[in-house]
Amino acid sequence: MVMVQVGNYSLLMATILSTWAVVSSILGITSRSKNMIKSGENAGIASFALISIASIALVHGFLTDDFRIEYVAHYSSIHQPLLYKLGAFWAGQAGSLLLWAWMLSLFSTVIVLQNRNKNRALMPQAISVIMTTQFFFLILLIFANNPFKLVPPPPNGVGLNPQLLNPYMLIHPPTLYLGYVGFTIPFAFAIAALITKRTGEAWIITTRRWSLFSWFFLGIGILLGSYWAYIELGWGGYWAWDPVENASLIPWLTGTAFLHSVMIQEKRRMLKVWNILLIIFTFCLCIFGTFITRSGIISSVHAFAESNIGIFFAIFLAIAFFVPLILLLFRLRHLKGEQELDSILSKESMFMFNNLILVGIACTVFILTIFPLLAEFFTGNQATVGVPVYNRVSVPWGLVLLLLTGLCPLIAWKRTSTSNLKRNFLLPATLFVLSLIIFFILGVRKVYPLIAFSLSVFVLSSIVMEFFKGIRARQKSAGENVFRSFFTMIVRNKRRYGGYIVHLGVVFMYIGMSGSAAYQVEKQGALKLGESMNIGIYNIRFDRFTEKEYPERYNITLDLSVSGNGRDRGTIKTELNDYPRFGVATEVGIVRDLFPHSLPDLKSLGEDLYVIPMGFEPKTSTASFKVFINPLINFLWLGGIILVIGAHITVLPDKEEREILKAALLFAKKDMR
Amino acid sequence: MTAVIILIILVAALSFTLAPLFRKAEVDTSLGDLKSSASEELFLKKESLTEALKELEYDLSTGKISETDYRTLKEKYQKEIEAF
Repeated sequence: MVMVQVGNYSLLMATILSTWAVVSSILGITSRSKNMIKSGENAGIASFALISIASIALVHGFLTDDFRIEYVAHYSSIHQPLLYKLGAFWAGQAGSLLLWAWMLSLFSTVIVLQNRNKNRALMPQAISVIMTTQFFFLILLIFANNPFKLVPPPPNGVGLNPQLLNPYMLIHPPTLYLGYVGFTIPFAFAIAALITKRTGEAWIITTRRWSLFSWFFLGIGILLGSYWAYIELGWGGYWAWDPVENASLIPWLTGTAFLHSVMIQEKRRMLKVWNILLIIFTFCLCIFGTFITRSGIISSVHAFAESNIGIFFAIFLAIAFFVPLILLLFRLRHLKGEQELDSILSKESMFMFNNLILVGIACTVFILTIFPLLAEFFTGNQATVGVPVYNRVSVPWGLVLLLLTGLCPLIAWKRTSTSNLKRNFLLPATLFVLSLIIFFILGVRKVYPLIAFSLSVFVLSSIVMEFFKGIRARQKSAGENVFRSFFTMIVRNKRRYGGYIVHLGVVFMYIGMSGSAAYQVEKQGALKLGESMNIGIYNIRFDRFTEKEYPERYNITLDLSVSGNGRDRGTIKTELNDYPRFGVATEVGIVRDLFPHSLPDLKSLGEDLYVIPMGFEPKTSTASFKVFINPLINFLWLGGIILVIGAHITVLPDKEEREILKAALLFAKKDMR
Repeated sequence: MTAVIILIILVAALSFTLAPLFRKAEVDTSLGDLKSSASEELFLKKESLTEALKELEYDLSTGKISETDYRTLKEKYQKEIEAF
C-alpha cells in the first residue's frame, strides 16, 4: 500500500512541478531572471525523479504480484515469467502513458544538462513546450487512466495476452516510444526558435542528433513490431496496414522527409517554413500514433485496451497543431528562404521530390487510416480499407523513392552538368537495364518486383560507386591505402556515409518486401500422423504430437519434419495453446533457407517455410496446417540490421559540428561586447 | 510511515526546484537579444558556406560537377564568405 500511495503522490507532485516549470520559465523570460529559468529547469529534473519513483512503484506492484492494483491484476498473473511481469508495465494504456511521461522527463533532464552553457536563449521556451507536453500526459495519468487504481484483489491476475508473451514484444513498445517521445525535442526547439525569432539553422543543428535518434528508434520499433507480427500473430505476413502499424509509419515518413529537408536548410538556407511545418506534423502525428494505439478508437489487433482518453488527446492535439501554426504565420517574414533552386539537376531538387513523395504517402496512409472513422461518423456505417488500396499508392510511389535513393548520390548540390550526370549515370543505368533483362529471363515476370529488383541493383551500384570514388579521391589527396582511406572517409563524413549505409539497408528491405509480397506461396491441408504434404520444393511430414497441461494453458505441440530437393531441411515445432481466458493461441514454426529453391545446408537468408497450426483432432490424430513459402523475406530483417549500423554511424559524435556551434556562440558573445 | 516518505520526497523535490530562487538574483542577458542571435546566425551562414566549399571540392573530385561549374561556384562562395 505504501508504494501505491508513494506512486500516486509522486505523479501528483510531478504534475505540479511540470506546471511550475512552464510558469517559472515564462516568468524567467519576461523578467529576464536567470534564477526563475533555473528553477524551471530544476522542476523538470525533479519531475523526472518523481516520475521515476512512480514507475518504480508500479514495477514493485508487478514484482510483488500486488493484484489490488487494477493495472497489475489485468496485465500480470502469478504464473507469468519475471521478464514478462516487467514487460507488462507497458502492455496496457496506463503503463504506456506512464512510460511516455517518464521518457519525456528523462529527455528533458538530458536537454537541461546538455544545454547548461549553450542555447540559453532557446532553453526556457523549449523547456516550456516539453513540460506542457509532460503536463498533458501526467493529467491523463491522474484523471483519465491512473495506473495505481485499486480494485478488490482477484486471487490471481488475468495475465498478459498470450500474443504479447514474446521477447520482441518486450522491446518493441519502448523502442517505438523512444521515437515518439524523442520527436518532442526538435519540436520544442522549433517552437522556441519561432518564439524567439531565431529562425536560422541553430535549432536544426542543436537538435539534429535528437531527430536522428527519434527517427532511428521509431523505424526500429516499426521493424521489431513487424517481426513480432510475423513470428507471433501467425497469418504468414508482417505488415497488414493495420491502423496501429500505420500510426507509427506516418510520423516515420514525415520524420524521414524532415531529416532530408533540414539538410537543404543547412546547406542552402532554403525551406525554413517547410521544415518547421514538417516537425509540427511529425510531433502531432506521434501524439496521434500514441492516441490510436492506446485509445482503441479504430478496431485493430493492437488495440488491446480501450478507454476514455480520446477527448484529452483531441484537445491536446488541437493545441499542439494550431498554436504552432498561428505562431508560424506571425513569423513568416523571418522565415524567408535566402536562396533559390538553381537547377532541377541538383541534390536539393531530388530531396524536394523525395519530400513531396514521402509526405504524399504519409497523407494518403493517414486519410486511409482514419477513413473508417470518418465513414462511420458521416454515414453511420463502418467501412474498411483493404490492403490493395494501400498498396496501390505505396508500391508505385515507393519505387519512385527507391529511384531517387539511387539518383541522389550521383548528383551534386546546386547543379550538375548534363555531361557529368551522363558519365556518372552510365554504369548504374546500364546495370539497371541488364538486371531487368536478367531477372526477366530468370522468371521474374511481375512488373513491380521486376522494377524493384532492378532498381535495387541501380541503387546498390550508385552507392558502391560513391564509396569507390570517395576512396579514390582520398587516396589521391592523402596518399592512404584503400582500407585507411575507407575508414578515414567514413569518420570524416559520418553523416554522408552513414546515410549511404542506411540507404543500403533500405535497398535490402525493398528486396525483402518485394519478394515476399509478390511471390508468397500458400497451401492448406490436414495431415494424419505420419502423412505428408508438398509445397514448392518442400515435403512436410507430420511426425509427432504431445499434449501437456500447464497451470494457465493446455498445450499441444505438433512436430513436423521437412525435406526438399532430396535433402533433410530440419524439423518444425508448432504449438496450439488453449488459454481459458484468451482462447487458442498458435506458435508458428519457421525453417529458413539461404537461397530461394536452391543451395541447401546454408542458413538462412533466402526464404522461410512458415507453418501455422490451425487445429488438432486427438481422436484421429489429425492436424491441419496452413503453410507459406515467403521468398526473400530475410532480406527485410537483414536490411534492418544494416540500417541500424548506418544510423549509428550518422549519430556518432561530430567534433567539427560541436566546435562550429561553440564558435558561433563565442562569436555572438564577442560581437555583443 | 507512508506520510513520512511522501513528505521527504515532497520536501526534497521542492527544495531542489526552488533553491535557485533563494540565490543572488541574476539577469539573463541572452534572452530576447536579437543582436546576438543575428551574430550567431551570421556565423552559422559563414560556416555553411565554408562547408559548401568543401562539398564542392568533393563533388569535383568525384566527377559530379564540371571544372567550369566548380570554378564559377567556388568564386561565388568565396565572394560570399569574404563579404562576412
